Amino acid sequence: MDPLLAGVVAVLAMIALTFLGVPIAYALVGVAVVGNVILVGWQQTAMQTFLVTWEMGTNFLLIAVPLFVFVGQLAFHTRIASDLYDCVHKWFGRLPGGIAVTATVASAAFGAVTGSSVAAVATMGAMVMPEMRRYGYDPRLATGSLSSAGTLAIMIPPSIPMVVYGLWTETSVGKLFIAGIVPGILLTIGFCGWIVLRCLISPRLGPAGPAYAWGDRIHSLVRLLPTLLIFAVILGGIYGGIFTPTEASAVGAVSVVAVAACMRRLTWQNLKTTLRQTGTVSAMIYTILFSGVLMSRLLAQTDVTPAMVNYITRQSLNPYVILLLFTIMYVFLGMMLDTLGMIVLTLPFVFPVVKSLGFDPIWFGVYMTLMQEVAMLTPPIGLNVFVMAKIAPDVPMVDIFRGVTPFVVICLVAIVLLAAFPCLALWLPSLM
Amino acid sequence: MAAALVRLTSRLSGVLHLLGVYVGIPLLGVLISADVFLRYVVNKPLRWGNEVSALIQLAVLIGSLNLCTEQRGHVRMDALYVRFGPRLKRLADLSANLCGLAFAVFFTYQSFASVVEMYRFDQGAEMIDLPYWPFALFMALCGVILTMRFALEICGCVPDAAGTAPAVEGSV
Repeated sequence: MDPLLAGVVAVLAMIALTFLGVPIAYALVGVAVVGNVILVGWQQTAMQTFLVTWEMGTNFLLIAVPLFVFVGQLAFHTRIASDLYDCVHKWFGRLPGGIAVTATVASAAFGAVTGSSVAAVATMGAMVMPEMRRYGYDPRLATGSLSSAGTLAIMIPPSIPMVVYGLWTETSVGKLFIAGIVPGILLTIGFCGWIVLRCLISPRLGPAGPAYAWGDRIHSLVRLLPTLLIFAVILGGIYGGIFTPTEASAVGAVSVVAVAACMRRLTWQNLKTTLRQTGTVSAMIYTILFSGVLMSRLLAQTDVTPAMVNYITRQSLNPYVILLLFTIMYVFLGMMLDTLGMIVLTLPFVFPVVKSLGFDPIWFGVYMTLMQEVAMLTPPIGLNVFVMAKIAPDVPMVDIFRGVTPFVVICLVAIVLLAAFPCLALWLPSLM
Repeated sequence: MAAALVRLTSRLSGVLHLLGVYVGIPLLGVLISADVFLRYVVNKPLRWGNEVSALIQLAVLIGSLNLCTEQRGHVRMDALYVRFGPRLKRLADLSANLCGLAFAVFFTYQSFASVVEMYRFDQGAEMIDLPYWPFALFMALCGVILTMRFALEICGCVPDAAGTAPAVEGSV
């Protein structure tokens, strides 16, 4: 069989299986195994399969995934987020839409200890939604802001999708983390700005909360210390060149255990649940990663990837036009795919094109993370919206999707800004 | 017989998972942190630290793979799947299990072959006397369980196999 034809058939089969509902990892690995058997024989295929799983499983950088998952899960189970919320509420609760603003800022801060968007929504949503109801918040604004705020957790480091991207593209994970800081802060400001503006125009949508004395506010800062400590250890260590991201994840894991123990919130039950969830989530990420590597090696043998890169570059299109096309493609894919699936399925094709067009891999990592944020909010699959719908079952799903629409627009505006001013993402890493 | 095999694979998956996460993950955190501490404070880093950590990680991930598969923990595009009728759902599940089985068979075969090869050529870590073959053997045993599980699913021996969507909590 002509290798190029085999490659095209493999890609089509992979897409068909994915749409059929076959788990993405199985679709990738199944097609890769069959394709390899046809192209190189069963012995080479067996060898490839073992080598890829061994190489990926013993990749020192990948250790950051289970350990960051552990940090996020333990922070979730030990109620560090509620302390964050209490503190931020005392400072921002008085603003129009104060509780929504507080939840957004607290979610961004929670993102500094967890790399999981779903954990952020589940934590903040369950905690803040009852209070929003008490103050008579508009359900659309309440659920929309909470769902969207959760996405900030994957932009503010540490970020599990960034580790996966870094592993896949061999881009520095440390630089990716640092690159996410400015866009993460800008998005937080954008989300809060929109909430305040909306509530200034229609105050009934989100009434302001109570005012607190300055003494209370300053005293509340003490509750920020655990988060600040963990964040400082992880990011400070990476930025200062003291740790690699993997080492930072280990030191972060030890720190979060120590902090939880000092706060007397570390129970055996918490620890056991956290460890069990860490194992299964990490295994899921590992499977999708090695499956993707097997698939991309198959594509490399069939010359599909170079043929596609050559085709696109021969069109002499403006790189930004291609970026626009990718953005449309990712918005479309994000409607149907999980974020990890989106990365692993598209990067083998998209990343070589992006590199050949001269885009910086770190900048593109931030772009990909933004696209994943959009994917978590867009129907019909918007994962954060599903989590929010579980927390607020009385709010129709359609209303939640309408509620997140302005925040999706803000994310898209952020992509335009990022394309126009790449330094937003690249300035901090350039100082490392 | 089939029901007993399903119970056996489930129990083994659970044991391997718990062994990996209760022992492996804490060990990873402590080992890497200790390495950082020793490097900066005592100026004596663990030269074998990275290699051993990487191998522990391999054991944790492979050990949890079976349970993740059993719990339908892998991400899928279920926008269409949830709208399928029972017949199409069965087709999707069969395709998924066949893909999984194809991988599991090759993986298990080569893992066993690698055990022999690694033992014969005395392959191991460079900085510490730690042979690779026990890890390959562990992979092979996990592979056997995975292969059995997919085969049992294909034969329809696993109850409630069709139409189960993965848990949202497993996503990042």
